[in-house]
Amino acid sequence: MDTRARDPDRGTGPVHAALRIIAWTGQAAAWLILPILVLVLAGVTLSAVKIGIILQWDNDVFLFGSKLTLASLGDLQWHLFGIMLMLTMAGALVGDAHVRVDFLRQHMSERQKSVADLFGHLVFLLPFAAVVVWHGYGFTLRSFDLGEGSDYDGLYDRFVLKAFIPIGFSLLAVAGVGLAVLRLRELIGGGRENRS
Amino acid sequence: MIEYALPLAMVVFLLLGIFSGYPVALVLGGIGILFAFIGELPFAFLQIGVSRIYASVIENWLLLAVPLFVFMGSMLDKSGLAQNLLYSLERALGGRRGGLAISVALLGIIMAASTGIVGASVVMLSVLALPIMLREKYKPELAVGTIAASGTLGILIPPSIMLVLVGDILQISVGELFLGAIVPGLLLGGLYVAHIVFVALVRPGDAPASEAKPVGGFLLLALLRDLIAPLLLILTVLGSIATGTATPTEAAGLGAICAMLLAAFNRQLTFRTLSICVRETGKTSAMILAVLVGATVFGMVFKGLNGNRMIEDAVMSFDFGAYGTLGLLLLLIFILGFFLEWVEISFIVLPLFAPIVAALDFGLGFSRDQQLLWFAMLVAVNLQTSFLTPPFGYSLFYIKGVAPPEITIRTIYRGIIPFVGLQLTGLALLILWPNLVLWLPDSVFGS
Repeated sequence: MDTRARDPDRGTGPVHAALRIIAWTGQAAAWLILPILVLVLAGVTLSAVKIGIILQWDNDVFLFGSKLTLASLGDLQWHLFGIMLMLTMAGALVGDAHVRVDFLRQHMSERQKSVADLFGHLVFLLPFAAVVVWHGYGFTLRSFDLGEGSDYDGLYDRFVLKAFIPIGFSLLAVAGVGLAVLRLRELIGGGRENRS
Repeated sequence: MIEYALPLAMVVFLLLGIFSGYPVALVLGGIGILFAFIGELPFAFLQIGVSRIYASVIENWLLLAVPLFVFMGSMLDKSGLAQNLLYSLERALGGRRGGLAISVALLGIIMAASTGIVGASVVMLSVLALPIMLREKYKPELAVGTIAASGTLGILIPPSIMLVLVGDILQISVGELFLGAIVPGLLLGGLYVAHIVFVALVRPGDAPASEAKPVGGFLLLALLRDLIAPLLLILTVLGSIATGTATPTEAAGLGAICAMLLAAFNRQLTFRTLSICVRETGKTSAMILAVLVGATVFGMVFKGLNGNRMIEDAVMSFDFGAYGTLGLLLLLIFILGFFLEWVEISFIVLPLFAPIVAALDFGLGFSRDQQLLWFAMLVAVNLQTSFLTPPFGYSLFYIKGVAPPEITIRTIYRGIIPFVGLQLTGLALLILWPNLVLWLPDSVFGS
């Protein structure tokens, strides 16, 4: 098994530091599952007792508008879900948790694995991430300009959630560059580098 | 053919990329983007990709059920509830010949949702049960066969994460899918148990009884606590979906909270356990849903280059009739199952096959939804069989990976063959009698 590739977030230097931050971000974002649980429970309970509007106030507040409703709680659930997903994807790449088909890979040498990964990072990941970041940024801006929000008393300021698409894919791109640098170093360093 | 050169090349490069061992989610997205450029689709076309990612993944409340179910299963596993369940079952049933194997089959079925993907549940079950079965002098073939088959049955038994996603892909109700899976799941589980009992009767040495253990009131209490609680949890989740009191997402959330309560009740809800579960939930759901994100972009470009028409033309050009076409699609999925997890197959292949299946006329008078529901279940059983079939079925490699060295791949192949036979029997029954799938959802929801 490729032991060194297992822990690319360990080690020193700026590349490892960046990968560590991405891995940490993913792990931190995973905790959003707990507030989601609470929100689901609250949603089920409140709809069972048929409470629609939970709180109401005078001034418009960021995201929530002027009242907290059952619909806001529901919206908040998938908002947090989307944020969690976008922030955990890059961390999963660093932690090598993404599905690989290792049918052939298990017969490859370390060097061949490095080449395959390097190729993948450069040819698949980076163009994909770059396009999604580019268009995701425009997607978010348009939402901001339109003042897009719920038309059923849910959450407003949709651009906040949408911004996590370019943010998440930027993390993915940074992770890809970082991992590609590590792979390249391994390939150039070749046999000289011991697993330290 | 020339008009389809691009989508054909797309499929070829997708396969090459997937077999390079690079993460599938990113291969999908990358190939999609590259071919959008090669096919000279306007750059603005890719905007749609981003809004699709938003609309069909992030804004999709149903998919929230995925991390919630993963969390629930992870909690049952990591808090030791699964292990307690196996020990209690072993003490209750182990005294009889074949009892332990039946316990393992039951555990596999109950723990189905815990891991999300086949590989992980087979590994979990092997680590938990294989040492015990070998210690109790079970024939290794029977032990690994039972573990592989029950571990993969998890993709089918509700609450199954695969069914949640398949429901979303085929646009049919997840509640109906869950109900539709109950009879086939019980059928297959029943076939396994019958096989084990049969072996235990014919060749008692293969499935010996454990040393007699005291059966007293205390045990009964323990069994009640260890077995009834998780069972009740699953039944609550299923029941609330089936009766329409809760959506799959709400049921998954309640299930996750109940799993935490059970863990707390067993004094296992430590910060360490919680943090392990949270981390695993983040990783597993990112892994599953990233494939969906990649497949969304791939599918959009594939369609933009007329790939869907290519697939439909190809399948229709054979003109095998309804059952022949169904057989062809199932065979294709069976072969893909040698190499890919259900995650990839569901997201890549099902959207292409769904319109073909919906248009087939079996002369049975089914509605579109019924036909897709039936098809979904056939795909699930078919895939599960594929995961078990030597020499490629990769559940077998997962077992090999964690089994002690004296279990050779040959032992595993020999052990799994009877179970593959059972699977094919089950699949044939479901093809012949679609009502095995449709009866329960129809009678609960009305057709």
